[in-house]
Amino acid sequence: MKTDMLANTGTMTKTHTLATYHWERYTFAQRIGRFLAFLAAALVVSWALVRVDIYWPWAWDAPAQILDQFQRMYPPDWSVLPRVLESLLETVNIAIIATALSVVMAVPVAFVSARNTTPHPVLWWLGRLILVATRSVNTIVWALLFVAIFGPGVVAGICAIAFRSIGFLGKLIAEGIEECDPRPVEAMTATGASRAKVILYAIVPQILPTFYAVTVLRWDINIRESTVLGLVGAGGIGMILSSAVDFLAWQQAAVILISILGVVVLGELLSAWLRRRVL
Amino acid sequence: MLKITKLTKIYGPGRPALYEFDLAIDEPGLTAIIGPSGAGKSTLLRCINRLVEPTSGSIELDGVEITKLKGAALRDVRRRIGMIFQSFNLIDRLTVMENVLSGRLGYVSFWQALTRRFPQEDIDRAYYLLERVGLAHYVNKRADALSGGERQRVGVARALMQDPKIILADEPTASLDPKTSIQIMGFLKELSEEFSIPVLVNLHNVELARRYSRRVVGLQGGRKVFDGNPGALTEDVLDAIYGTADRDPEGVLTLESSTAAPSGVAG
Repeated sequence: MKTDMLANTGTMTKTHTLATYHWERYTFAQRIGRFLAFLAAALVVSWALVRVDIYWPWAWDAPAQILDQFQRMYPPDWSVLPRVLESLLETVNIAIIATALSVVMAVPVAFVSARNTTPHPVLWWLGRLILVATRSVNTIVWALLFVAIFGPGVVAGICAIAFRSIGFLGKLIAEGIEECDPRPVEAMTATGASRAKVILYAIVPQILPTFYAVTVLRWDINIRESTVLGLVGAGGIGMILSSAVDFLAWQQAAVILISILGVVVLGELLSAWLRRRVL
Repeated sequence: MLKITKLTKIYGPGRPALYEFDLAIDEPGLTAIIGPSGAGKSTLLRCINRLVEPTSGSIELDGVEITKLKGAALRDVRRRIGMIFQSFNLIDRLTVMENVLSGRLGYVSFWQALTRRFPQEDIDRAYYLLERVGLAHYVNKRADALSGGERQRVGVARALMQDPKIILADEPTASLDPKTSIQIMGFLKELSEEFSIPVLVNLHNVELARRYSRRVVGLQGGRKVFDGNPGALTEDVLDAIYGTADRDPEGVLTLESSTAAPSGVAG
């Protein structure tokens, strides 16, 4: 093998076999460039640290504070559990109603926002705008808005979560519609079916698994979202958490936090199981 | 019945996909359209039910000019034109029965379609057709649980559900093995005669065209280069359709099954 190579390539082989191979991943210029990039990133981070007003003594004694906090929370005051569970149920119900309401609003928006089912390009832009706008506003911001409209309470919370969910559900369902196999659509069109019937037979069966999976996933997210709604007065467990913290009732707050954790874990398990069933 | 005059389809700059194509079909039975890939076979069929818009020319079905129809009038014509596809184009997640009944979508209301409450005569017809193609025991099986040949039989039943005046079959056997291909072609021929429906079938297999069709149309580069009975498909004619260089008399054009006559192309 080696002799063949020497014989075939003549004089060139001499220099190659004598010289040691030299290989570098980056050229000198590239190394300079990479160094400057890292330097710039480090500068940005340190500038941010300097600009932000941190009172360092408070940051340094955090470990002691955490320990102190745990001591204040221990032992949890389980006597509040019935009230907490009632409030948790309300929280879960907010998530259920809001998810249902959101589905009703998101499905039409999804069909309008999918390129292959949109009735008109102008409506497509409008649909996309609704999806982006509802998603870019945080649930808490929506909640503040709806508390101002409906006053504090469950209705504001439901609306806040429902509106935030339109963008999420609508975007994922619209993507599901766009990924549909076009061949059944062609076949249904060829039977002389109207546009609505083509969608009903050729597209709806294809997106149903996506639809169920995405809805259950959003319901799971909404349980978590609805636990913080009470902080701005929009109902649910957050309301009593907020007042427990305000009254420095840390042993009650501990029960609330443990309960929220429990419900979120349960919701996640249930949602994962349901999604496995539909896919 | 079907009369095509000077049909032309131009997709973009360059050679037209179909150029001044004329064809008249009056009797039931299979008319095979053969030709190399890109000859315009698919374009021709899809112009007839307007899945593709013709650039110019005329298509008449029972004396009705259909190239200019729109909306409800177009859908009314489409529901009398059955179509069978190379990749079956069934709705995988629906049952065999739902797939067959979907052939009636042009006739039933949206509400009937949504609730699956089809008229009893539609259900009777669907059962008859499914029995006819040997799938009556599969009515509630999902379409994606079927084999290729079974799926195409559902496709055939769906097309016939439309009570069509004509059936367009676009390479109905191209996704199937030779034995299943023969079975499907057999069903097409029998049902075409039983219901007195002309079938326009694109084939890339000359042997199938010879065995099952009453008439053969040869397309080459978007133009008709042959129109006659299968017996007239001589070596010279096939050369005119496919070109000499592309053809392999030993393999490509002969049916790879033992049931096919190997002398077909040579003779």
